[in-house]
Order: sequence, then C-alpha cells, then structure tokens
Amino acid sequence: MRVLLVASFGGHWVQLQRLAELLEVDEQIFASTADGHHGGASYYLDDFSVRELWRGVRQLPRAVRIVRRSQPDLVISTGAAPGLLVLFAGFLLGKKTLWVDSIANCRRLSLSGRAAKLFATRVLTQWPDLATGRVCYLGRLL
Amino acid sequence: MRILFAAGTQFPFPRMDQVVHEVSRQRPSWPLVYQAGPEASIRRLSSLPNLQVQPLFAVEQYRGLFSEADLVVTHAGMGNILACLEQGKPFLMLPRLARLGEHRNDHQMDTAEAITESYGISFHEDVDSLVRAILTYDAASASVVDGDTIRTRREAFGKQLNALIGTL
Repeated sequence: MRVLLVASFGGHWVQLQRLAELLEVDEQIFASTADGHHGGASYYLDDFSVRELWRGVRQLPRAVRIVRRSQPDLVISTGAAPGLLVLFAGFLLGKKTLWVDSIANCRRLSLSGRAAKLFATRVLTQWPDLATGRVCYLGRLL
Repeated sequence: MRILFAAGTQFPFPRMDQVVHEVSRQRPSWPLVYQAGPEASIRRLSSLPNLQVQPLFAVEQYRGLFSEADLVVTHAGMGNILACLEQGKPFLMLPRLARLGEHRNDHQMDTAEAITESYGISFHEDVDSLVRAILTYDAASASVVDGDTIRTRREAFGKQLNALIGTL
C-alpha cells in the first residue's frame, strides 16, 4: 500500500512523522508547507489558515497534482488547512482518506477536522472524550 | 543555566519577547537562545548581549540548540511539547491567548491544561509568573516524564491504526 502523508510545518508535521513511524505500509510519500525551510517532504504547498478559504481554493489544482503524481492508495493528514486541502483533493480523485486530528485539540475537534468529517473516509481524534458518531478514538501519540 | 525559548511561528508573541528580556536582564551570565518567530521585532532583542536570537533557526541547528538546552520555555505548541516529552527535556509553557491576538483561538490553553493533567508540567498564564518560575527553576526537583508511558501508548495506537488501514 502506498500512502501520501500531508501536514503543515510545525507541530502538525512533527505528529505526522511520529504517526508515519507507526505505519506498516509499503511506501510513504510526504507533502508539507514551508519549502526552503525543511527538506522532509517530496511535495509542498503554501501555508494558509482554514479561514482564508480563497488562498486554499487557489491551491486546489496544486493539491490535485500532488495526489495525481504520488498515486497513493490512501491519503493521511494530521492538519492543518493545507492537509485538509490535499485530503479533499484525494477525495475528489477517489482515494481513501484519513484525518487524524492534532493532539492539541483536546476540548473540541479542530475546524479543519470538522470539515474533514464531511468527506473523509475516517476521522480520528486523539482524545477519547471527543469520539462521537463519525469521529473515532484509536489512541494517541502522547 | 542554558535556556531555549520558542515563540512558535504563527502570529507575533510579544509576551514571550518580554520574558526573554526580563530573564536576560536578571541573569546576564546565562546563555539564552530564542526562536522568536518571523513576526517578532528582532532588532530590539538582538541588542541583548547574552542572547542568540533568530526568527527561525534552520531545522538542524534548532535540533542542536534544543539538545544543548537545560530548560526549554515554549508556547504551548505541539511540536516542542512532543519533543520535550519524548526526550525528557525540562520545559515550561506559556500558552498563546486569542484575546491578546496571539492565536486564532484558545486551543493552546486547552493543550497546556491537558499536558499539566497528564504529565504534571506546569504552565503560566502571565509574564511575571513565568519569569519567576524560570529564575527559580530547579531542574533536580522538576517532574520527570516517563518515556516508557509514551512509547507504550504509541505502540498501542500504531496497532489500532494499522488494523484500521487494513480494513479501508
């Protein structure tokens, strides 16, 4: 199985790397933000907030290209908005998608996570109290 | 004491700048390092003689500075918290607050509370209290995080994750 893993640089990226270490899959491909600052990913997007919808929509073709080129069976994101965008591109191209909400959101699912609920194959929270309906708790990184 | 301060990279965080200023002034012999974020006013900070400051250190350099630090003082961002907990690095947190324009919402406050609950690491809500905690910090009596707990939790999570992925 080939997996595309996406997260913006910073805490989301750190969590994505820890998550990747746990996965037993054939191939892992990474996408992130802040190119020029770290070389950990094969593909990059510009960073934006989920509230700056227009900046995200403008990058949708780029997100679609990333999914097309990497040809994953599954797209996983730990956030934030750029991860959501690539996950959405994966959904548009008929890929399986998994959202793992950041462990930073312990009182409420992130806004991006709530958006992911609308289309993602599975949505995970890292806090048992936040598991409801479509949102599952399978454990956490800390 | 060698201290690494980390403000995070999104939005300005002038309260952390203040903390760095105060500690630098009161402990001129301590070597201080500050990753101030792209929006900080670096010019004012760079006049402090015992401070090495950058908006953003290169990833490799940051890793080195992190491992050399005796204490890490950080915004309540998950990247640094994860690294500190995993490596058993003593740290203190200053959560960013939405009402001061330091973040979009108060999730850092939630994070800090959750980390305090799970790992007994204290966080501070204002500059004075944090500065006091730094100046009187006693590494020997700080609560030590058990790396095994994290490892065990993570392995269990990994098992569940792989099982889920197998069913997708």
